Amino acid sequence: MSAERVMILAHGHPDFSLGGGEIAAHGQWAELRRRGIPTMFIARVAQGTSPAGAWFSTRSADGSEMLFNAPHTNNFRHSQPNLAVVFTEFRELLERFAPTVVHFHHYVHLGLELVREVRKSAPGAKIVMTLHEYLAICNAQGQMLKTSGTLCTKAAPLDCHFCFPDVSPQDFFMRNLFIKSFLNLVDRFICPSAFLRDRYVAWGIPSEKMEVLENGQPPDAGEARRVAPSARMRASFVALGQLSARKGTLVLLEAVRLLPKRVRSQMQIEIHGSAQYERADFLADCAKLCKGLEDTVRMFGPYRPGDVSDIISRHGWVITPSIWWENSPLVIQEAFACGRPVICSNVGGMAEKVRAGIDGLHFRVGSSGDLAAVMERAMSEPGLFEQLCGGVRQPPSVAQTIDRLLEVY
Amino acid sequence: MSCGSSMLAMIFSWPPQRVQLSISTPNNDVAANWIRCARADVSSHLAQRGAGGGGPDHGFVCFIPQPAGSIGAHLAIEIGSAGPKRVRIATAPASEMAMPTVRMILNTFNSRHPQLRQLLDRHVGPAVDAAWSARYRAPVTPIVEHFGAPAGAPAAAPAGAPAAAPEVSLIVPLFGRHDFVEYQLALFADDPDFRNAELIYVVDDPYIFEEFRGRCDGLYGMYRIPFTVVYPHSNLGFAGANNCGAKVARGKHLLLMNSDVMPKQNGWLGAMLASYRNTPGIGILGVKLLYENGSVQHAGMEFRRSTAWANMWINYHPFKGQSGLGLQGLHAIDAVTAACVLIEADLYRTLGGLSEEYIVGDFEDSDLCLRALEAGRRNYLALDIELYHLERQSQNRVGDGTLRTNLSIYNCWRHDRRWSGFIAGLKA
Repeated sequence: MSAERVMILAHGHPDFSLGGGEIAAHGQWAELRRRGIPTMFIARVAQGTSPAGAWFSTRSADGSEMLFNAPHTNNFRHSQPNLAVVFTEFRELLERFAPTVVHFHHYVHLGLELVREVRKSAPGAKIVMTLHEYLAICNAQGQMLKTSGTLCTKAAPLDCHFCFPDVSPQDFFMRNLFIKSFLNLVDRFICPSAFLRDRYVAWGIPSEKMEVLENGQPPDAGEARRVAPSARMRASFVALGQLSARKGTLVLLEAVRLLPKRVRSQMQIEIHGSAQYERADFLADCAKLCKGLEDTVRMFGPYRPGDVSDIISRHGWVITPSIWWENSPLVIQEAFACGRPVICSNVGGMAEKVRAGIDGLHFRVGSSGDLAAVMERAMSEPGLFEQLCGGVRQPPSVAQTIDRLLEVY
Repeated sequence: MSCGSSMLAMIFSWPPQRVQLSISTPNNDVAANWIRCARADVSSHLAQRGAGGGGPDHGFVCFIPQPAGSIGAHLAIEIGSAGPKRVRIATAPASEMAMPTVRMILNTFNSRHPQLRQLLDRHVGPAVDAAWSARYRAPVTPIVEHFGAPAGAPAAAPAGAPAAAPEVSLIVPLFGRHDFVEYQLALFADDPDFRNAELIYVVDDPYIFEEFRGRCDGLYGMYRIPFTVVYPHSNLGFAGANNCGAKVARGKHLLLMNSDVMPKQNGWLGAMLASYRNTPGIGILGVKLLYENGSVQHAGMEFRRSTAWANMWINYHPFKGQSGLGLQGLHAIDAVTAACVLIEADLYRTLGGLSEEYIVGDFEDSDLCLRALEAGRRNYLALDIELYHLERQSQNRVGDGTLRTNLSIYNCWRHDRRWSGFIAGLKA
């Protein structure tokens, strides 16, 4: 095991973009290094930021942390148009580092061609890939949410063409063949949820290549500020993360409006997160729905990752009302780390991670009426809050994940 | 209009029923076998002026064959309705740009004409033949470039040493889109059968050559499948492009493949070669081709008479759009589509390759199959070998619906004229 040399590739660096995938990849690199395993972290950064035009440049003096100044990829088939970078500079990096394991934490923004280059230039290396959403299957940002707003269960050329009328069914078909030609070269896939695994197996990846494994919670800077749940918190709800229609922000606001005034007056709801990438009409919808709810709902805007425990600890329940399947939302693990039960949509990775009646409650996805009913029950049913708090299990840490990853490697 | 050295006269008159037309040329040949046809443009013009009536057949079409060298001749047209009247028409020299002329000729007739066959036999057919055979042909010195060591070449061969002939040369013409190459290479890259195969891309489109060429170094570096690029400097059409590729090909067999044909799984090439080698007397081998939804695009072609098209033989595609799950085994068949066919290289050359007399790409595949049958071979269809054919690349190459239909009718007529008796014999 000590002979392993691991190369981890990620679509972003957490210093520049704070996505769950970036944080997980970087956290795993740090943990492997802590254990003395030679590990290189390569994160893609937006073009035009590297010195002297080098495609790869160091982030740490010893070269164990690298930035890939990747040319923009084709976001339809996730192809790297500058093939020479792949078979020249990336190849050189592979040959010099000589990894025994290459772990892709994504291929988006990097280019699928990197996978083939590993297979050719480091033929002995095991290729591991963590799947973060359904991007290979679905062109709608990998969310399997139709452009009409309905949930999608299966990609097919004609169906995808109806979502994107400018793209022919034939082109969708070729996208599928093209992406699979690279994913076929991967030895093991890491799936943060069983739901995601099943989707990819149904799409055509052999189930024996699949491993269900959480990314693992990185050490929490705000852990010391965690406060145990108490009965007075049971009428207090919080939603964290990006504000967007897909994340169900509007479903939540509509649900609150549907509750009778008498119920509303007893509850408190906080929404933390940024809507910086959202369109003006979404923001207008939010403002309209918030009108008259000022005494119940408070919007807090963006927060720092170190403040998550602090924010959650002031509330009883965490709500994840996403209208798409999700995979394994970070916020659910953060809620469990704080010992809080979760109210979530009854689909996909959310419904898998939150066990209804054990450590949380489900409502029908997209239904503000059902969410309103569930929230009312959550705050009023005697003993329910305490019971579900008692059912919460701690999520795995990065260290626990690495123990299992090393078996996969 | 001029078609080569000959002419196609298109005349209209009003009122239609009272005209007697005769045409004489300076050589005093009288062409009186003209055919009447509807002229929607004339009818609508007359209707607007309140002068309609008397039927829509205002037009006359007449092909006037002229010997080579008679460019610039004058025509005298005699209209006998109100006494002889001579009209002199100066004819323009024939254009080497054949396609605009072909388009104009094809736009003159309606496929629902009651005398379609006579119209084709006497006028439209010979006129298109004459225009098409006068087309400009680029000097045949195509650009040939190799990316990666050619298949079969020993790694340390002395310079100039002839490389061993590969088992098969794949010839893939490119027109319009070249990104298909990237998809194909991604799907060829892990197939061991490509180790002894030569891959030839024929760029049959001057508009994409430089851009495609700019990608080739990267494509070879990435996928490491050696390939050859052949560029004939002009658009030769499907048949011409394949023939151009065949001249460069070194393989014992040729696999003609469309750029929008994609493998379903590895091993298909070896399976086709094995099928071919194990079938004595074989001429051409076709395979099952599927649409992107998995239904049948091609499972052989069947000659059928078309009542809509003057009872001419057409290439019918049985099972098209249907499930092909039950279709298995190797079967003798008259004809297969050229989207993916295997043929011995020597036989291809003996037969003269694909006929370049069909315009744009239609019927030359069944024509080749029929020539193989005529030469005493049998053609086969391997239904256990499946590839995808995302049939679309050739669409809109010519123009809108009417022109496409009329071009198909012309090619069909040409094919029927050559093979009608032979096909009837196969059916007997």
